[in-house]
Amino acid sequence: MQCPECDTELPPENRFCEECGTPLPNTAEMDAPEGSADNGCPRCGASVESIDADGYCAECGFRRGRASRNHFEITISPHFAGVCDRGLRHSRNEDFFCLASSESGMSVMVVCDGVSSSRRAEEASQIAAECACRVLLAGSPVDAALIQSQAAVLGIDLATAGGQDDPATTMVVAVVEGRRATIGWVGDSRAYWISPGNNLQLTRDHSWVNEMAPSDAKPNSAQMHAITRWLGHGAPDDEPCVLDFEIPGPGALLLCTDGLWNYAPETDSLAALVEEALVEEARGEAIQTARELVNFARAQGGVDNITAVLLQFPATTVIEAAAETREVENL
Amino acid sequence: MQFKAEVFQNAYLSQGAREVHAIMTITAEEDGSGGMNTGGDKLFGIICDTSGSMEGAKIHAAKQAMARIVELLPLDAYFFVIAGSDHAVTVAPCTRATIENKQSALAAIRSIRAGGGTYISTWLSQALAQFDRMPGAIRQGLLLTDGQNEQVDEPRLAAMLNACEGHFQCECRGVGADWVISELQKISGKLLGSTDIIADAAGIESDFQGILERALSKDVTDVALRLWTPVGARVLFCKQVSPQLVDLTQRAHAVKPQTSDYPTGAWGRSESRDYHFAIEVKPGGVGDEMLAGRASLIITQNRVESKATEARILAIWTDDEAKSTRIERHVAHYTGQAELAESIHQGLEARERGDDDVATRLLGKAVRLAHESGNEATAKLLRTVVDVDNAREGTVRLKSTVAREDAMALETRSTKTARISRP
Repeated sequence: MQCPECDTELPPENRFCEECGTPLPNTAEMDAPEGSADNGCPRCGASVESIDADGYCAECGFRRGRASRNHFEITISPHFAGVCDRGLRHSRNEDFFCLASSESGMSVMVVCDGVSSSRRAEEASQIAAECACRVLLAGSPVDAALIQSQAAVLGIDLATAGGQDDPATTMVVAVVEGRRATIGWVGDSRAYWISPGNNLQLTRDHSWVNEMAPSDAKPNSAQMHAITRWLGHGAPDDEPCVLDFEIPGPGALLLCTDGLWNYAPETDSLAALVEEALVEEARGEAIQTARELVNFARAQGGVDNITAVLLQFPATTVIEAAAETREVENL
Repeated sequence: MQFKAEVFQNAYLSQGAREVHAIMTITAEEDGSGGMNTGGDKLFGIICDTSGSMEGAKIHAAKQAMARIVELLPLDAYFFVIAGSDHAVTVAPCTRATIENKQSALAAIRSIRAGGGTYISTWLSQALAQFDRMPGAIRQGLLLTDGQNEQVDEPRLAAMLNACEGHFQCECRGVGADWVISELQKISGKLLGSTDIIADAAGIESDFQGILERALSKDVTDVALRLWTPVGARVLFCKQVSPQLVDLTQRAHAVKPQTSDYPTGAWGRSESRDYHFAIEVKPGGVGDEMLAGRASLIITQNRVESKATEARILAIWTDDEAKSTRIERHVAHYTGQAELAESIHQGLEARERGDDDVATRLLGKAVRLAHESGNEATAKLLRTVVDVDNAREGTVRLKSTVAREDAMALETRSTKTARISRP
């Protein structure tokens, strides 16, 4: 890449020219502060008036938006939390996730992985996740959420549309009410059930390796891991993949992107990490476990963006939930 | 006239790093818009030592040089002349440089006689009174002396400098080799000027003319460099690094809790200066980005402030060492120039106290740094003090005899930096 001002040759991931300091074009897309709810500076608590047009806080100087887009965490409760991280190699974080719980006790988790080869992938993942979360909280079923998210990604305003590099993202969602979980997905972001002696990969990747006949698959070819389904322009018009899952007992529901599972492709090895984190570091807190998983992927090289979201069912809550379910049934 | 600012820095820091360095280049350009109130009155004040030690060739040359300056002054400029010894005598009070006023000033200059001691505080006190008659003008002083200030005058001089700060700018010149560099630098530093040696009295006239020319080229005065830093940040230093080194760190004047002004004095058309900021900030995590500083140029005219230009200093934390360990070219260059000046200063000090080993090492290092950075002017001055065996490696031998004037010229001029070459 060349600086438009002084023509210095620069590494492509640079945001500013090292010679003359000119902001580089690809940064413009990242500058928009996330979300519409504006609460000022997340670092020092300065009011929204202190944030300048580029997102810098006039008190502490930290830039809002970009920093939190590169690494952000959400904690809904000690049992329900997630972490999203840029990783070590990518210059942007194109993963995104949303968590929410309704007053009625419904938990919603959405994880998206913007397709790196597409334009504005970080926008696609965020718009899709926010849309799905909103729709699910409003009580719509999972398949409807997937369909509406697809429309939301198509709605990204583009000067030119219809190209191969239009915004695209994967998505995996889980809605949990009591012991009933409904999982939906598009692409290769995954949902797992982690429980000692009973680890399950709940989703099945929409990828070449899964959809081609075994004889056609060329081992280790780049195509094998290419996704065959996504949200965005040119997505195949297939029925959404949705399944119901009954929470069998104590354990954790884990949603993650390939930035994590690529380093632990076997379900049991991933599960071992979760259990290790639960026992050693986390004293049972979901946010600690999620951080441990992200740190694990970074320690392994962090070549992709990493997202890990956990909803834990400790022994006590499962019993409570079961009791609630019975009460509901008794009514 | 308009100002342009440009910042050069490597904004990338490793995790936990706190020190942000940036070079800001400020250029004043003629844009024809005349938006800024330029071309105002210009007041030039001459303050000349007429103490007993000036007797002879020095006072003769100084009088000639002053007369020449008066003749050269444009008719719309203003001037005054002060003769200083035990006290100050106003040879010509603040007046417009009309033909008649020049004639009477020239006659008064001719009648100057040397005699008495050196009480610089009284000279500055009189100069301040003259400059304060025209507070809106571009106010440039020129002080010439050949000796040391009287010991008893020191406390009064320090107090007088504080009173003069911001009221006028002053260039200081020492003629001969019997004056004290640090003493004049204290005055020129406070009054935003430089100190230089005029080894031979015959050189006074051309030196004075150079100062007058530069003074007349100024278009706007009382310009301040305003630096905003985030809460919790600390300015480690703020230095002018080109055309010469001037440490402004202690000159900070707090405007608001996070904002300080540093004086830069008067600016002329097509003048360009570089400033080096070092700011210590709260460390961020990988991926965090911070505005570590916002530097702007503030012009005060008729008590109204206006912002001329602004530039940002950023910090971006990364775990990519290839990015964070790179030192930006401008920062590296001027860090080297500051090191060069410091090596010369300390090397000459060591030489003075007879520590030849330290002097040889430091002056050798200076020769190497001057060679590497292409600072030919300083390299030439160094060769008056040392014999250079290998400039690239910095191997030198101290000369056995060095003229005092040559060592003083090296010391005073070592703060002149080389501009960075185009890549």
